[in-house]
Amino acid sequence: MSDLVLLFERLAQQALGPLLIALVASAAIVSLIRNWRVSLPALIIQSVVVGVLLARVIQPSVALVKPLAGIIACVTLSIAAQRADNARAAHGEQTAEERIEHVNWRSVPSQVLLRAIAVLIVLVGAFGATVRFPLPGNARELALGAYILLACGLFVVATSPEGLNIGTGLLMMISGVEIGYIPLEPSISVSILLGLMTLIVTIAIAYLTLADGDALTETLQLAPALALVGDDDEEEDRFA
Amino acid sequence: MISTALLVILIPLIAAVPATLLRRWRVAELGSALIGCGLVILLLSRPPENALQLFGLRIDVDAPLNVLGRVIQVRGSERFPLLLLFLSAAILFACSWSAVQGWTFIPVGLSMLSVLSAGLMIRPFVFAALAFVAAAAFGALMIQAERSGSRSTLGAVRYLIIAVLALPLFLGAGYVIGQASNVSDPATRLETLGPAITLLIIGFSLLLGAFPLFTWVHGAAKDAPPLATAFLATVGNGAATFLLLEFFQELDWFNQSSQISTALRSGAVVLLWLALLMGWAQRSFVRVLACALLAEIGSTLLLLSNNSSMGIAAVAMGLLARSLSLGLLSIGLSSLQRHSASDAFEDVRGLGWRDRWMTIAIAVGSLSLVGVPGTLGFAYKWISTRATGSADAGTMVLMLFAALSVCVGAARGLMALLDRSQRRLSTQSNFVPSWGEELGIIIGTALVFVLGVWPNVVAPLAQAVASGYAFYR
Repeated sequence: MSDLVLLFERLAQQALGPLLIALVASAAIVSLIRNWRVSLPALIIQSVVVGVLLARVIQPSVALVKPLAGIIACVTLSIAAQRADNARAAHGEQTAEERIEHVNWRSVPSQVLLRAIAVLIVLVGAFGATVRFPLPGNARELALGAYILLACGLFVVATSPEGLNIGTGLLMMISGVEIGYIPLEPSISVSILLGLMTLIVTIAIAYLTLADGDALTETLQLAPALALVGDDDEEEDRFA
Repeated sequence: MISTALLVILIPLIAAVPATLLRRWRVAELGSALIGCGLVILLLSRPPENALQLFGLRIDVDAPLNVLGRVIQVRGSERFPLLLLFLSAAILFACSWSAVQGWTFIPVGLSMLSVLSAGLMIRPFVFAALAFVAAAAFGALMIQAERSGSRSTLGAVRYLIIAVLALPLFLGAGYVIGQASNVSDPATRLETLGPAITLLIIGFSLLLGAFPLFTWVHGAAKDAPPLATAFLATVGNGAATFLLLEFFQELDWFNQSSQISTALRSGAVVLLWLALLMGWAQRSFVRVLACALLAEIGSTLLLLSNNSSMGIAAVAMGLLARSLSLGLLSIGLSSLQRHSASDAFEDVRGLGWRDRWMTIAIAVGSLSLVGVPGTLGFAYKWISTRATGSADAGTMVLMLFAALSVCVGAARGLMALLDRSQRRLSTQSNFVPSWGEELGIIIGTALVFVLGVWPNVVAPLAQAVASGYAFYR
């Protein structure tokens, strides 16, 4: 653990440029590619980068909360997304893996190009906001990261119809809030409460992902194992 | 010594466990929820000076609880608002006996109640924003319930997005307030606080569902089980309202800001106009419900801008009236959804003759919601009119016309339900209401009328809520 903390500290102090590039790249990937097999790993990398950046202003051991919460969130979401994909496959719909293997070259390039132009505008806007409306505190590099994550998160939320993609956008926005606010109040309680909130929001997003993929019915069929009393008819009578 | 704040947070969470595990046994599910709410209500109804002794442990109402250096405490002004929130939640949980809303309603509702209570009691205020986002995540689960399918998550996702959007605004405001506390010169201090006021206005508008228009209110009303909508509109919005009142109570500059009262009044006028223009023209019950909620949020904002004891008492009374009216209406709408896949007026013609209890629930619930004389809703409208009339007669008239417009929408729905020409078709439905549903509707209807005729039974609670605040004096 102490080695990890030391690594965080070293990276935070000596690799600012690469960290910011990784942050921009991960935000751009999540904004451009709406496939959970690509966007969730990018989100994991992003949470690690955010954690390392936070180690510049708070104790590295406390900054570890962010990547930990981010990894748990992404693993939870990937399990939900896989179940949703299974349900989609059962209905004969294309899964995320199939969309990578058999790229639709007629529609994908135009979609990605359009999003790329929009993301470029969003990134320029975020950079402009950092210069025009600098956040309080001395960490300007973190302010840039906060604006990038907030702007890209908002872009994803505004342009996605599915629960999972909107969820990744929301998690990106929360990361932006963390990276922008924690330098202003560098306390353990803020980091822990924000991490806890991320996990609660993740549970909601995972549930909505299952519902979006029509996998909720399948999941709920497993749940009655917990129930102690009752019969199947009563369960069927419940709100549908 | 045990802090009551700890119990207020823990009891609903503990009650949520048996409610989840025994969810197929409705008596146990509902019983654990009602016992949980009842215990908290009992704890909060004790005067702060009388500490409770239980198994040798002393339970103090106003004892602070320190969590990670933050203080969570039941303060004088928060005791009755919290009690009211738990009472409203208990009414809605009790309504679920007659209208089952899916497994998420009671356990998630209890968790949401716990988190919202923590949000109201925690200081500094910025942490309340974190609690409200967590509560919105629970709210999203409640809206989604057991539905699935593509595009079925719209209402839930919107509710969640709005809360997350409010988060940076509250955190930013918290930072500005912290910086301003270091400034000694009053004029410079007020100038420093300028951005905080703007951020808080937008943040509260988002939390209360007032800005931007058509955010979660219509989405949730359309997608969520009716009782879940009622829960979010009463407990969720009620908690946000009381948080705003706590800001008024503790921050003088916020209370005295003309920007706040202007923003509240402007928001109220826009929402009331929207309800007035749209309410009468709606073609389905959930859309009428959504318009009624817009009118209710508008009325609440107007009362909050009033800055008077009667205004706050009206807000408290409105919360109680709304929980009962919406609870009853939700029982009716849940029955309607079992008779017909759609609740559009055209699709439910004549169904009212098939299930008269459902019709009674919808009629009494919607009429009480819009404030027809003789119902509890009327008592609330009466106090609201008195509170706003003296200061702003024009907006008071707008408030009444908005209610009238929603009333016309509800009446059109009821006329469709009781359409005699379609009566024969409606008998094809084979759903028969259980005795539990009938009993729930009878009790709910009786309460709406009895409390409507004798509002003095609940008025002391509303007055107690108002007397807890001192900012308007």
